[in-house]
Amino acid sequence: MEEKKNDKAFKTPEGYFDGFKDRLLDKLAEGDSSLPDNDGFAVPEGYFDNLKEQTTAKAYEKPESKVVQLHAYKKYYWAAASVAAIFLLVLGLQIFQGEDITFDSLANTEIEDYLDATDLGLSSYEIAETVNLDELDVQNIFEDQINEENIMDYLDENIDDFDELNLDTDE
Amino acid sequence: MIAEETLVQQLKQKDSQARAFEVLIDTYKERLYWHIRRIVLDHDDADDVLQNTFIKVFKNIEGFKGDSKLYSWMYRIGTNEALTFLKTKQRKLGVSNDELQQRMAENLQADVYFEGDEIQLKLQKAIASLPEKQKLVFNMKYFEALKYEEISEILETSVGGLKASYHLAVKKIESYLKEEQD
Repeated sequence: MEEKKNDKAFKTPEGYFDGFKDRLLDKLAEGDSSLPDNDGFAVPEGYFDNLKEQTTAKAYEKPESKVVQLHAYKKYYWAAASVAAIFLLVLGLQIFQGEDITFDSLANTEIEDYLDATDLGLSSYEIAETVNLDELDVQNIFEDQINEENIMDYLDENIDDFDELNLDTDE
Repeated sequence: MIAEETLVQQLKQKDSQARAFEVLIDTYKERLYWHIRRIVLDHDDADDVLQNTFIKVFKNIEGFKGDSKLYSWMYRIGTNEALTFLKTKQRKLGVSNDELQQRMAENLQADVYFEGDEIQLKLQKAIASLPEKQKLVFNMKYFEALKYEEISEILETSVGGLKASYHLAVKKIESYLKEEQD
């Protein structure tokens, strides 16, 4: 490549390039004068005066506890609770003796449903960044032989005008 | 004005907590309100989010280690509360984020607590069209006059990135307003 002729002729002040980007962006952002200074929002009269009382009261509010009705047959609850506890214990032991639940044993549909119903707060770009592409065998798409009949069926259903396809008329 | 460290200490101690919480509300209520209001736009929504923000601050003050300034921490809680509020609203209405933002800006026209003129309404619509981060940075820099260093601590983003976001936001708003004029 041809050597630049001016390389040694011009110099810049020390540290010129270090702060260049910031200075440029500051300068570009200076042209705000066409925008209004005020945003036009208002609040109800006396709003800020009452805010302290309202917020303080809420902060010290204790969650309401449930009122439990007392019944005459309270003594039978203990017996019922004991039977239920024994039953749950036996059932629990049986369940946990079975196979361990692993991530693989979850059905794909369940995982998809969970991802569908849960807001993970991720953009599609962020999700794409976390997917490991090594595990995707893109080659399969190209290597799999597609039945000619299926191709014709697909075209028949999805193409309105066969002329658009520029098919070779000899075939 | 009471020093921030003293206020944090008082908030963590049972005997001085109540009084310190009142001081905290008095000191930050307006700044936080306007910050939240510019995200959710509606006064009643801003009021809900603001109260929840203070309650969260109050209940989580034990976990505040002082790695950042108290107001940055509160701003961060307020921002997250406001964004979560909008996400919930979006899900309830079954609309996209863009759609919700546009609806919110449209509703300003009939809002009794919006006294802006035509250009201010257009400005809000322009802001509503910005991506979330650019919107936050624009509001914090332009209306709240926060320094880049302060915004950087609140949003946990580099100053360079913030300057770029602000610059982009201003350009987009200007071209939006120009298009509307033509």
